[in-house]
Amino acid sequence: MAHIILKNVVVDFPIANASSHSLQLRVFQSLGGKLTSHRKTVVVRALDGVDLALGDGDRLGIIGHNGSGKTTLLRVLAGVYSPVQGSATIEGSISSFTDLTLGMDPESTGWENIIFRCAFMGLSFHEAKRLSPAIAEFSELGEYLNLPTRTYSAGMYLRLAFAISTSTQPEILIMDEMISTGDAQFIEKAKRRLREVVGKANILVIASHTMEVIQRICNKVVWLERGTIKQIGSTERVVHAYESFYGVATANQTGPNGVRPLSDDAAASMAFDAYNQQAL
Amino acid sequence: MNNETILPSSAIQGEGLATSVKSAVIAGFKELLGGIRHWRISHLIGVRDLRHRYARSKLGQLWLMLSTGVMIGVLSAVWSLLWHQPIHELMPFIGVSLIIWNYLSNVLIDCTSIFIIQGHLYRNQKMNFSVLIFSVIYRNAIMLAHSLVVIAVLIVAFDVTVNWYLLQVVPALGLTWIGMIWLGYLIAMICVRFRDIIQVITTWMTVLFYITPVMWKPEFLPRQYDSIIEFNPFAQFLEILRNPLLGQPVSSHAWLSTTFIVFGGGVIALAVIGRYQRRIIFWI
Repeated sequence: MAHIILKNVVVDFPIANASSHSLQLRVFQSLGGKLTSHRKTVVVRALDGVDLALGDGDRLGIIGHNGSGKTTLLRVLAGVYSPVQGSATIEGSISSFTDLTLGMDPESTGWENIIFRCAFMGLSFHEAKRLSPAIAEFSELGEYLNLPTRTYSAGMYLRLAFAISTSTQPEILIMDEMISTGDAQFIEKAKRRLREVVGKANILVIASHTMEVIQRICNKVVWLERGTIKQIGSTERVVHAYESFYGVATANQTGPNGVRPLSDDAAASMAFDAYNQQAL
Repeated sequence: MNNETILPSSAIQGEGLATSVKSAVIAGFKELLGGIRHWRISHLIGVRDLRHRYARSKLGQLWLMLSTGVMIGVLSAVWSLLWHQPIHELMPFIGVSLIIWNYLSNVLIDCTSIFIIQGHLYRNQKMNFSVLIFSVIYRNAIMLAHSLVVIAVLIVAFDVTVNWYLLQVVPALGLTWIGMIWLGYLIAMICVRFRDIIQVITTWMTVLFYITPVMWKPEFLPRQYDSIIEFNPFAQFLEILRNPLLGQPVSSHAWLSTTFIVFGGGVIALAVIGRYQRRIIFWI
């Protein structure tokens, strides 16, 4: 049993520039200097009045332009950000695939990193040791696991991160874009593993720019626009509304040269590039 | 695993001050307890930091002992010459005091930047911030443990009396650790919000180093300035930790004042922590 209930969630980001962080300005303000014109801290409202209820079996897709609040919403669901107004109830073990390398350390060996990453995922050392052989086998890194991970290529580092992150089954799974990693042969294996983990999760939440991914996986879609829910409902209806609103060709149409707009693999490699950058 | 409703901290307001303070204290306490539940992460971060510092160095952690040893030797030699003090009395005093002081001050100074340095760990996953405070205290405790060898050498070399007072080091350490948890958290939280405070605290630790009897004995101080020690919490903590190691009794003033600070200040700190802990992620 897992469920997520958001009621009228509002998230504000204080603008953390030098002036608001600095004590100097505070002192000047209290002295009544000229700078008092900006007495209040400037905030950006990232989410504004978001209501959401998810239960077992729900597969939620989050769509919207850059800066519409997708990542912020994912982080509220992961419990990272707490709302300044409204409430967020999240019940169930959460795994966030938004940073697969979280907790890993380039100076330590592959084996040590398995323990590190597992500890960050909330496993005990005993459980981590028990899972280690299976993780090692899946990552196909063999002898390399005895070396510090800074000697790995970006692809190898990610393969390890992926193998560890997907080694346990969460109740609630949170993803920012579809993830995939490795060379052609590993990608197939990774896809199978991911499908399994995604399939078994009670609740899945994924933010994506790729409508194909959303259409394939999700049964519910939220369309965010400037931090508010513009539309929520069945995948078909919301994706259709989104695409006709922006005048985008529907997913199954072919592009100018008979090339399909964005395949799953293209999205995968995009996500992969993003992780490469993070890893480096 | 997770089972809670996350309410904004502002929701606590408006129910009367007493209830809101009480719920803030409870929230703060839960935050610290939550960090203990993640002890594995504190342990891993603490050990990893230490290993990074001494990675690819031949003597490794031995440097911890060597550097403190050299420092103590030189300081005591110069001081005993300058002040015409017998070195066999001054050296154990300065040695033990300096090691304890370094522990106290390193923990607090490390706390000023820990949320900023390790903040990236919190962007994608929910975790208690107290985990980082525990990792700082833990890492420095490991370093302190290395210095115990130096203390043992000093005790043996200068024939310092070892007696039952030594056992008082246990409650003294306990008090110090409890105090460090909330003070470290408070400092880390304030520093991540107001970055200037990092410099303020670093500067203040230097000042405190000189007005706390670390390099000079309390009896060197002219009587009329005794309040410098009596009202200096660091001097009190130094006393409860140092005197047992040197085979000397701890004054009741030191025990009472440190206990009062740790528990009285602790309740206030818990309220502040409970009130603002959910905002930390937005300040990083």
